[in-house]
Amino acid sequence: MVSVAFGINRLPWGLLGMVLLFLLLLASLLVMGDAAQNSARFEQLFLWLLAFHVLVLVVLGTLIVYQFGRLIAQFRDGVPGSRLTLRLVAGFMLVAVLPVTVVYYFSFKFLNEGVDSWFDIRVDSALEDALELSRSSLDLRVRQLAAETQEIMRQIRDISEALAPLALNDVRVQVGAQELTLVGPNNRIIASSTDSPIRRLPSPPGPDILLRMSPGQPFTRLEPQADGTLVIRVVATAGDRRPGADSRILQGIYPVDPRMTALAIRVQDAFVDYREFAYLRGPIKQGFIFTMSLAFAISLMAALWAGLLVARRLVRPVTDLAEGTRLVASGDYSTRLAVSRDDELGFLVRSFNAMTRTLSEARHEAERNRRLLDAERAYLESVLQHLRSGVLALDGSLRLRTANAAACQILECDLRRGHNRFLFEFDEDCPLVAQFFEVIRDALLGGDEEWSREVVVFTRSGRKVLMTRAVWLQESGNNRGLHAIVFDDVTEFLRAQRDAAWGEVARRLAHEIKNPLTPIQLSAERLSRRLGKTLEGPDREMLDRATATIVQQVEAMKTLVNAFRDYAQAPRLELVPLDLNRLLSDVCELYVGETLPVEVLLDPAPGLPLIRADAGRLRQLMHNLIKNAIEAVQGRPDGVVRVTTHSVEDGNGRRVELRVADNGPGIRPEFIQHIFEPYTTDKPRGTGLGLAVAQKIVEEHAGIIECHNQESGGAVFVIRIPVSHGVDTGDVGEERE
Amino acid sequence: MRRWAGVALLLSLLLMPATGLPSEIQRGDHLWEDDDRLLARLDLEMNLPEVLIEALANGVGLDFRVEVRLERQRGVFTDRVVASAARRVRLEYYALSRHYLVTDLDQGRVELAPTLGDGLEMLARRLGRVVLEVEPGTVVPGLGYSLAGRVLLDQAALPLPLQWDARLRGAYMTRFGWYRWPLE
Repeated sequence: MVSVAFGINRLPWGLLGMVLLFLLLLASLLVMGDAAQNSARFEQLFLWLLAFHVLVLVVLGTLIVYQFGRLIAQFRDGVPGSRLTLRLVAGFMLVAVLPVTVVYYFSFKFLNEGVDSWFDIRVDSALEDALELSRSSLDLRVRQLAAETQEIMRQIRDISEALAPLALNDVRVQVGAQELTLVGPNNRIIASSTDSPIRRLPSPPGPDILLRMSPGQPFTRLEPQADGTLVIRVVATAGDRRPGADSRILQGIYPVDPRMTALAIRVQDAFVDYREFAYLRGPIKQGFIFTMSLAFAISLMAALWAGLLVARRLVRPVTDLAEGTRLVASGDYSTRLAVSRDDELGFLVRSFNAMTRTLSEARHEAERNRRLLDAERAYLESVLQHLRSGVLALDGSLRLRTANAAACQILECDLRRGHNRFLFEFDEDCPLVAQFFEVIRDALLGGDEEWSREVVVFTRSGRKVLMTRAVWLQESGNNRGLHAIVFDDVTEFLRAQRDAAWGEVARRLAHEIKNPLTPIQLSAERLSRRLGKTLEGPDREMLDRATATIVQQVEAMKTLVNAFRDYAQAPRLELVPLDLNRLLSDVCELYVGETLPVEVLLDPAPGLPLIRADAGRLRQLMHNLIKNAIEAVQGRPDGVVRVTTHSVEDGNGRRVELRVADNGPGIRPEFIQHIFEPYTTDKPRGTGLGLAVAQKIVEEHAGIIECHNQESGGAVFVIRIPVSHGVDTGDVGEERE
Repeated sequence: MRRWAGVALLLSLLLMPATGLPSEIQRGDHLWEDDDRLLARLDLEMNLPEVLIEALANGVGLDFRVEVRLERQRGVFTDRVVASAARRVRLEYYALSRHYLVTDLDQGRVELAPTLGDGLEMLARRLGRVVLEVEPGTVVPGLGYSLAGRVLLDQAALPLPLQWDARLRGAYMTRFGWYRWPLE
């Protein structure tokens, strides 16, 4: 996998997003700070900004908790890079939290103590005193006007309603009142005078005023007006009477001197502002602390989140490198890391990729060479395995390195399981190998670079002649080398040579000896007839004995020559599908009888496949083998000849196996190797051709014959003849014979 | 230790549940002054929470607004507002004379109350009279109409620091909710 990012893909989108988020947060905090100073903006934005910041806090907090949880889980699981990430994040946290906490601490302290320092008890007292002074000053004026109004009320209390307006107007002008109103019983206005050029309807004292009036005490009240001016309202009664249905009251409204009004209101405004400010001190601090805490929390969270992102971003190449290194260590050279940076880590990643690419190419080259070597080895192995010659390779210390199938077959040992063993270690399990090594050891150790010899080893089925050649192969560049030993089993070849020689001998004997035998026999008989009439007595007896002997020996020689002829001349075979069990049954039937001292037992295998064979030749073969076996056990009271058939599967295909076993003395070992050669017999009256003919018949049917002694005693002859392909089992018609 | 008191106070304020104002509209009435002028009369019971009383005593003016709607009842659908009117009245402490001022911010009329109770009564009286201008022919006889009124504290008129508290905790929540009565 090669993933190299170029162009727009190389932009750190995550980082840009993070920066944008921070800028957005910063802007929103600034807007929030501005809104905190502006009532209208506060009304519009505060809740939205607060919700936004809380949402950001919750999201950041959730992400941080999730990331931390994931990081800790990865750390516990030993995920590569998690430890470094954790350390970096801890470092970032330390770097972020410490200064922010310090700033927060001092800001908090400044807010708490700084805001308090804005207020001074002396200012508070001074403002209160100033307000009290204003009140006193105004009270003085109020009391003065109350006295004057009371005096006016006493003067006009009994004035007639007709004169009241003029009198009130005079008095009003005289005292400088804004309005004077004389109210009679039931709050009826008797007369009123005002300084306004526009006549306005006088307002009688309200019930709240009348209720608050005390007997003999005028009601006074300083009243601010909508236009910012102050007036003093005085309501006076006559004497000690309470205002009632039968009494008159006078209400006077007096303007306060504008300068005094301005001063008093200014003092009051300052006092109220200061009191309000002092009262709002707590909420102000709370607001500042809240904004600051929010900014602190967001900054902290953002710093943590940024720390996590930056740590992961920093560690990712290292993690990738660690993972890539692990993969390379485990043999995966195809690992390629994405190059997303231009810094030193990017250089490291590129170097890693170059290294893995080089390793991969080297590995591919090595792999290709290995495949070539394997192919060469396989080819060599195939050649070796298909060689009919046995091949062994021994190192300098005579350890077995290589053995082909033919070597295993010839030496009757699975040599490939004995790889790297010394040849002399093949003793009990592979006796032929031990024999073979015993013979060639001297030659191997003799130092000859090349040698050959005929090695004879003995098996249970006879001796084997192995034509052996060896050569010492020196490895280039060192002192090591190999003994390459090639050997062929030439036993059959030699046997075939011998058989051919014997066949030629037999043919010549038949031709050269049989021809003079008949004239000899005729001459001997003629001598007996002619001279027998002339001789008498002992001479005649001698003549008869001599001629009889000649005739008898000639007959014997004819028999011998005929046997040689049969051996030498192969008859024309008539191969037909044959049921061997049925043929054996017919043959063995001839050997069943009370007169026969030997028991012949037939044990045919059921379902035996058919073979293609000449029934006459096979019958001759069976007679030969059974007679041979009977002769072997003759004279034994428990002599038994056991004839069995089997269907066997060997490396050369499916075959029908015939076994003729006896419990006689067995074959002498020195005869086993030559037992199928002509004139090889240990019987006093045998021709020595029976088994040679038997072998010839078996070979005519592409079969093999072997014999060996049984461990339980006696000899056994084993014949294997290939199954006839395309022909079913032998439980079919008789015409097949 | 004191420096953490602010944080503790802030947290306690944030965690403290909002307290509502036990004021309520007790009764609604109306009177056709003319064919196109409908006088809505609300009988208000005005009470202030301690925090507002304290703010008032420290010079903070409180602006109240009364809103009245004439709505046509439309069954399952939202009632349609046929006409609406509002009135704003300020209650504040006048330190120079130690009185409470009740100022009709729409008409500029000022009333003085010697006590807070009197001031609240004046406030209720002022807020309880709202005139709706109804276009002639808007009100169709036979259709269902109702009047709805509510009184609320204008939080935007509060000093900013108090708005923090008001926004965060709803401590000065003075919404009465809509009080409805049928138009007869």
